[in-house]
Amino acid sequence: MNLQQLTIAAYVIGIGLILAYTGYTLVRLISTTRRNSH
Amino acid sequence: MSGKTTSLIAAGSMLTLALFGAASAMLAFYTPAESTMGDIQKIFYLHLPVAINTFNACLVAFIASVGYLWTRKMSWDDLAASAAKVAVVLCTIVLITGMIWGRGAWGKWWTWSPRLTFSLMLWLLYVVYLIIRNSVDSAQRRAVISAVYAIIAFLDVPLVYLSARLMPDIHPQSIELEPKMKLTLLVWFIPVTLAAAGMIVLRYMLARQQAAASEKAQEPTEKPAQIVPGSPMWHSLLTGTNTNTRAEAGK
Repeated sequence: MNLQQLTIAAYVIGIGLILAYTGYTLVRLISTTRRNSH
Repeated sequence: MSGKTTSLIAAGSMLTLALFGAASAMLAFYTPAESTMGDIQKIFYLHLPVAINTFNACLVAFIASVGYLWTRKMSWDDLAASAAKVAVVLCTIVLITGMIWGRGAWGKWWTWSPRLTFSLMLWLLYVVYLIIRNSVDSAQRRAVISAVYAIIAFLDVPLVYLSARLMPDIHPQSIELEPKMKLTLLVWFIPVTLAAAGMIVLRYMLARQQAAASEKAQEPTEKPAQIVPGSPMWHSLLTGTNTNTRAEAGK
């Protein structure tokens, strides 16, 4: 891997982790809220 | 969740995503490459904002833990746990991006320099915090133990910050930046800080919803017996006989 590919990999992993964790939390929040309201 | 909250979450998510896109475009087309390290230095624009927000998340966990010990309100404990979870995610990103940067700049993935060691320690401390939370059954005991632990764990944050300044370290203390690089760094701080704050808020909301769900589950599901004319309870009241249980009443 050259330096440019390493840099892109770092950004993909970093932003990917943030988005994945936010998405996972959002899905759990929506399902828990729905369950509570029933 | 009210309609207003849902709209606010959707708007915040869209704004953060758009800002991440704009910052990435800026990095690709506007920001110059650093003269000695080249393209790999561009990891810095993600690495530093995420590192600062890791410290912020640890600070929130620290303040919330003090708040819990002070007031004994479970909402503080939920906030501390939410911030600690986000701190682990952010610290993981700091370690991964730092390792990739190290591979490109120093030729090795890892070195036991003071800042790197204290950063790994910070990650481990907050992972252990989450393990502790999962291993104590009583909610009150869990909250007290976690709060005391989070206050002690926070002591590592100043060590991470000061290590590269006070001890000989391969990790740079600061990098001289051109005006274009400074602007890029400032722009990158916005979506990363929004995302970090958003993750803590969402986690906290989830924790409160889960607390409400467990309270709901503990509520008695059986309705109290009603004294309806003609019912066994009605007869027992009239005749003075004892019907303590539903089974006895049905006999």
